[in-house]
Amino acid sequence: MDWGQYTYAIAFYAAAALAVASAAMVVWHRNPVINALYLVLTLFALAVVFVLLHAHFLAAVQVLVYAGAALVLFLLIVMLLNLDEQSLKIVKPGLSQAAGVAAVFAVTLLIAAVGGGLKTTHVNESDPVQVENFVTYVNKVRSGYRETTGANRGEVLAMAQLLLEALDDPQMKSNFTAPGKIATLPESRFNDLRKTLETSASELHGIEEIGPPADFQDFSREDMLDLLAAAGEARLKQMREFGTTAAVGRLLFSRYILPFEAASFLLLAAIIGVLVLARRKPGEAGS
Amino acid sequence: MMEINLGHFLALSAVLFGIGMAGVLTRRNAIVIFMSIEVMLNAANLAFAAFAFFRWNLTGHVFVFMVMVVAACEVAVGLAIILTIFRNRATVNVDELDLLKW
Repeated sequence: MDWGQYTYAIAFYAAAALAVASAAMVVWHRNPVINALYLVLTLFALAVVFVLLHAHFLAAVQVLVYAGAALVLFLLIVMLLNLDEQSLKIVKPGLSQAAGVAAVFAVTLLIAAVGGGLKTTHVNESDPVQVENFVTYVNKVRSGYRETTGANRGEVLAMAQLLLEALDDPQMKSNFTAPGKIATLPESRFNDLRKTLETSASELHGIEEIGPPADFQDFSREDMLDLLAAAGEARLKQMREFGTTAAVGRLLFSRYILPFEAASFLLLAAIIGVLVLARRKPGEAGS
Repeated sequence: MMEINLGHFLALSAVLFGIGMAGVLTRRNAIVIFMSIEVMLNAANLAFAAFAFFRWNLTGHVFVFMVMVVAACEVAVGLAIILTIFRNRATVNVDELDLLKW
């Protein structure tokens, strides 16, 4: 176990304990002002967890939007209403049944989460260091080959994109993880591989403006190795900038531009809705 | 124990969701119920971010962004509704607000 992993675990457990404890106080404390302040603490602890997940942009937005804006709104309303003691009685009748339902639900989720999560995914599978080793390895194998000028650049880019996704898919991965094998692959197996790329590339076409689908008939083993190297390097770059504002922003303004615009429209609708709700009707007595 | 993987993050998410759900079901103050809903939304966000990280897929972050937008709208509109209710009924206790009860 290395030092980095150790500090990571300590940071996670500390942030998780803080988040759970303060979330419990949000639910159990009597005074709404204290509830709101504990909610701020919960949100900050979750921002720490976001940083541990390499979600730097989300951590920043969490602090700015949630802890900054939403909580100010909560506090404003709590203090504006100035609820009296009588209204602060803690529970509704039927507490025990309701709490029981919540507990059963939480335990079910917990079992599902821990059972599924521990079994299925390991971070090591997509470790940047591994991808880096992979790229180095491909380059080493490739250097044994003479330079080829056969494949045009558009094809290589399209295939690189494709292989990028293939690296994530365990089934495809087993085909691609050993570039040394491609050199010695039996002809039939190599053709299978080429076929897979060919069928998937047609789906890719049009999404990334790269050009017409490539003709894979004269796609050689050298081309395949070039592609693996390009794909590995692209993947490495993608991993290095994972979760940064630049990466999330690029995604928001390209593939998810429509949801993004819909979100802005939703915000506009909310502004108008709140104005209509909060406005006093003409003729209503002001207080 | 010391190796933190997806299960740990999902477990934290599940615990927070359960706490939030308990709050929604047991509290009677509408504002505190809203805060509990925020806790539940954040638990869901945490699950999104965890899956995004362990799959190296940024789409999860876009989802969290959208959830945050919806949460912001929900807080603004919800608190405005609570304010209007308080003006009319002088209470924010959900068990006293039975106007729509059949």
